[in-house]
Amino acid sequence: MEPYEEGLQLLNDDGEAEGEEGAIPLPKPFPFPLFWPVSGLYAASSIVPPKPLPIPLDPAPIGFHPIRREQIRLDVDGRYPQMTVSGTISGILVSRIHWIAQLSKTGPSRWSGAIWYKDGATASFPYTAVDVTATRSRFPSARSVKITFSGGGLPKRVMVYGFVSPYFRTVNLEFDFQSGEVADTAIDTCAHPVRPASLPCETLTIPIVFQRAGCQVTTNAGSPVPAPPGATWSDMEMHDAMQIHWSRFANAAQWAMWVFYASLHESGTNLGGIMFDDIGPNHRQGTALFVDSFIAEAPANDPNPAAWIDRMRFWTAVHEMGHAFNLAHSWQKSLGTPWVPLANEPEARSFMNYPYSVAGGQAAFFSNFEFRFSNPELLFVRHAPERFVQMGNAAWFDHHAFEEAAAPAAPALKLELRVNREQARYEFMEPVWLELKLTNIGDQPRLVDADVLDASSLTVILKKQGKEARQLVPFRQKCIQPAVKALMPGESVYGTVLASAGLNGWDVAEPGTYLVQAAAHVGDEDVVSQPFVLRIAPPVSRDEEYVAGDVFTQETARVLVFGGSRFLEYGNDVLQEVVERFPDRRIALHARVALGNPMTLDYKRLLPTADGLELDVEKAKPDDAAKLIEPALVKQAKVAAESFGHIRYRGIAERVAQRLAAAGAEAEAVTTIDSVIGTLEARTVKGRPVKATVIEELRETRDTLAAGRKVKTKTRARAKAKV
Amino acid sequence: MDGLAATRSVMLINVALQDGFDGDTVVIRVDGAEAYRREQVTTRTQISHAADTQLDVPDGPFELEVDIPTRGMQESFQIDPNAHPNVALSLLGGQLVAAYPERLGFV
Repeated sequence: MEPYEEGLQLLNDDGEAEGEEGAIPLPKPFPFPLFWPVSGLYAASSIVPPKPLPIPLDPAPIGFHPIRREQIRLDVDGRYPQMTVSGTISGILVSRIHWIAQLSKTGPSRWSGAIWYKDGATASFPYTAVDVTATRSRFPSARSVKITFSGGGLPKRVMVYGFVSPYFRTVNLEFDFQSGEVADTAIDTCAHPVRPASLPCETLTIPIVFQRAGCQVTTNAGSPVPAPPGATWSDMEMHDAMQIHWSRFANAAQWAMWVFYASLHESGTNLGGIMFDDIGPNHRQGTALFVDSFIAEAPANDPNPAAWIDRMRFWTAVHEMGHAFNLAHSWQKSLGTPWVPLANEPEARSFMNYPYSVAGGQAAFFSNFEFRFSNPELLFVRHAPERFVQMGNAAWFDHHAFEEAAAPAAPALKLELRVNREQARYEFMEPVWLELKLTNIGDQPRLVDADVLDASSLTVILKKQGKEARQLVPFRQKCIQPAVKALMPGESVYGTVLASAGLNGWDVAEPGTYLVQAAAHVGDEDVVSQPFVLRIAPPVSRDEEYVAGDVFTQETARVLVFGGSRFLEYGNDVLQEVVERFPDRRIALHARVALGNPMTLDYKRLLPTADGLELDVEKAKPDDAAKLIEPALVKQAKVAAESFGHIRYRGIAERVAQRLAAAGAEAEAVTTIDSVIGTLEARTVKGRPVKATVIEELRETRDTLAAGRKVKTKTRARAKAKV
Repeated sequence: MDGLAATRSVMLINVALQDGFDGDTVVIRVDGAEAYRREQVTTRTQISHAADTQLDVPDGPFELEVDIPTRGMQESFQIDPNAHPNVALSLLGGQLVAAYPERLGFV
């Protein structure tokens, strides 16, 4: 591997000329210490211990390092400064905090500005402004940056970061070529007469272009890819070639890309190059240019056709590599899902624009083209969250997609995700029900939607380790008359959500570690929870693996989430099999309740007949229901409370008990509620007992049922409000 | 285009369907006569290309009518093929827009 070291002067040769592109370089022989550049990557200094964030992050799961790492990228001098500082705080799985601030100079080596972008666990990072002071030195080890974070209604946080590198990213490039072609990665910038008058004459290489974009570049020696003369390439063939010939190929996100110099694409000469890798799970790792395509056709009467072709090939190679960094075309910036709202740049003199498409055509383009990316593109490459930029990470054109959470500077609401067990570990096939708690942590009452914590109102993001994040799409979308609730200071509302499955399928099913994050939407405000980590254990038998294929289906999920169905026969059959074959597994508890619940009431179904539809009412079967449900809610009450979660366990038990009582099985109903009372009274989770008011309400329910009266309170609403 | 060729001299223009297409049907008419029809037109964003074709057109100003029934959109453009032999059509901001690049090539 060959490192490209253009030297600090190339990246940082503008001294103190922040924001002034093309400033005259300062004299070099006797540099005054103040003029040493400061832009680059810094990491939290071990000399000054960091102050903790105001809201502690969740504990790291076993097997992950709980060390919090902080890096910042200061971008105020050197080549194309963006007057920006960005930072990444990481350390637990992938629950990163990423922030970006725009800077203005406020003094010698000092800048300040507002944080305008946040990504990740933003609730943990309420700061809104930064004050940045750099310590310059000719010795890298003596350089440092002090940042004071302020705003968000919190005390200031001061961090000192030590110098790591003058570059913001590190990327490895490999230039392979079709047999008979040449991977020419350099150009004489003054070889063609149509160029900016101010353009420095130099031998420019592709690695240097990306160094100037802020990336430390290493390269691998290129090698030929065998192909018969006249061969053309399809995208799939190139993807196959990449897997075989790229020395760094991996089905993983990595800061590395493969560049293939080929003759022609199968689609013909109108395709000059392509980032062909939108195939499979790891996009943007492979690019190609077609050296014999239209990019090798100089315009008629061009003053130096050979130089024109060299430049066009060079431009094309960098253009395709820009796509691998997730850069869109200049006129596409507002399309799709840009990482921040972006304006199109149809006239940009950027590697990402088409020379032929600007006003005045290619001659006008190249007469102003300085072999660079535009400032918004540089901002993205240098400062956007890593996953948006890194090859093989976010899918192509996605987060070129990210909508910034509308998090307030001083949050008045707090959302918690939790489970009623000491450790968030689930058996294989056990449905993952999460509880949500939204608390007013401000000093003023807040109006919230009564259904603010309903699954259909929330945004829930699920991410299996090593996989892309997915958004939970709940089965049910409520369409109800809006109602609001006043949430007093210190008061909370509660909800539950099935994280395992939705219309997307079973997103939390395979064994492994998952990260879950939820956002409740209150007015224009997004209240984002801390990331929550849970684990799914592997199957304990081959039998479980077989049955899992039937359990992890839409129909079975619907039966589980809706608390049973007499209509979805396939799902019922699967759950019946689960009860019979895996009686000691937790999925069996959920299956029993889902199978028994519909038997507790007269069940109405619309059945097709020759004349249309007929209402069929299947009578309740309280004895059969009790036989199914009692082993789950009574005999294994402790496990059920843990597996269903307290809110859901109580809600199910009360509903079942009321229905049993209504169907004439008062004794079973009382037994069920007694079991719930005894179980919840005895339970503590992380030292936290169940609220006394909940137990009191359950006792009232039990007494009412025992007296043969109908329970008047809407049990579910009460359960959600109080547990 | 036999009728057109029989009555007027013709020339070729290059037409590309570029950004914003997603499973669309595209019909192109030249002075009212259907010259191109394609279904399931979808843009590959990394090359800003969905489809391209060459059309016989009059050797003088003509009307290029573009119909996208899948979106209920219809637009007409007056084009002088001698000045604009390349036409790039895109769906941007809910509108069908035409551009006339110096040449059509995709990267």
